[in-house]
Amino acid sequence: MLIGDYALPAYGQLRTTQDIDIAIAASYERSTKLQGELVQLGYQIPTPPSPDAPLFLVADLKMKLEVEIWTKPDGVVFDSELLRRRVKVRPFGDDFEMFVIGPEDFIVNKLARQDRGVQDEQDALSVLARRKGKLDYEYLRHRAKQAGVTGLLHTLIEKTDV
Amino acid sequence: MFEIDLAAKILSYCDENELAVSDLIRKVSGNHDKTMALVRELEERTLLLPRISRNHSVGRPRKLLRTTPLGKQFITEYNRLHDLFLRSNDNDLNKAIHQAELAQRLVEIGLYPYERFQELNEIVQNIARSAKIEQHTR
Repeated sequence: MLIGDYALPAYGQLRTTQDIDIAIAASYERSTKLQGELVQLGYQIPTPPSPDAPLFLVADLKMKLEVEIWTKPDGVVFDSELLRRRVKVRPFGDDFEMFVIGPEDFIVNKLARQDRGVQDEQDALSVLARRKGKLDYEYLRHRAKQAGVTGLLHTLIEKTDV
Repeated sequence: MFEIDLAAKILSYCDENELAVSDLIRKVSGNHDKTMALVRELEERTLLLPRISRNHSVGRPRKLLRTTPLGKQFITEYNRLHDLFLRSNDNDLNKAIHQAELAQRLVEIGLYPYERFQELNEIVQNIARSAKIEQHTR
């Protein structure tokens, strides 16, 4: 499913970047197998597989595109609740469907990022503001607590009240 | 142009209580000369109002400072603007550099970054549109 900047337009402001982040629920073994298959298809994976790595980078040298595939996205717990809250989108029109992370999990993922920037906070704020009153705040707080970002979430929710 | 953050701090302290200059300097805990120069400037701009107190039986009369209504307005505007500051941290700058490098790589192979932007923008629009429909029909 899509996470990060390309999940933002599903719930928040429209913003175009070249960072494509995809989260997959895969064990280390399955992830390694996938990486091998992608290499066979002609994609480049600059770093060797590691069980500790939260993601691996896939580069399409022909198209000059890079995609980050996350197996351990920050603040994201792959469970039935997360899967239930995903939303189906059609990034290329009607021919192709894929999932985008749910809005509450999107917010927590943005806030829990190890390399969180101010832009990430703005993205989370954008979803909090645009989906004010429509979010599942109990679930959101629960996930934020799991990820250790309760304080930051509280501050941002307060900002949307101003 | 005076140092705005320090000016706001001084005006806030003198708004809470009328302060003697020595107390103010202690509260601000900054450079003495710099603080005094700023206090003089705030007085000239009528943001701070000085008053000489002769209540003490011993010693020299004390100069007390209070924030004027104009000074209070300054604090209000400062606080409002403070929330509008554009802030970035190192992670934002690193990400911006990465984006620039990706764009540079496109140029190197003869792809026009604006065309790529348009392609990606269309994807973003499709995601927004289809997510809206999906959530509406749930």
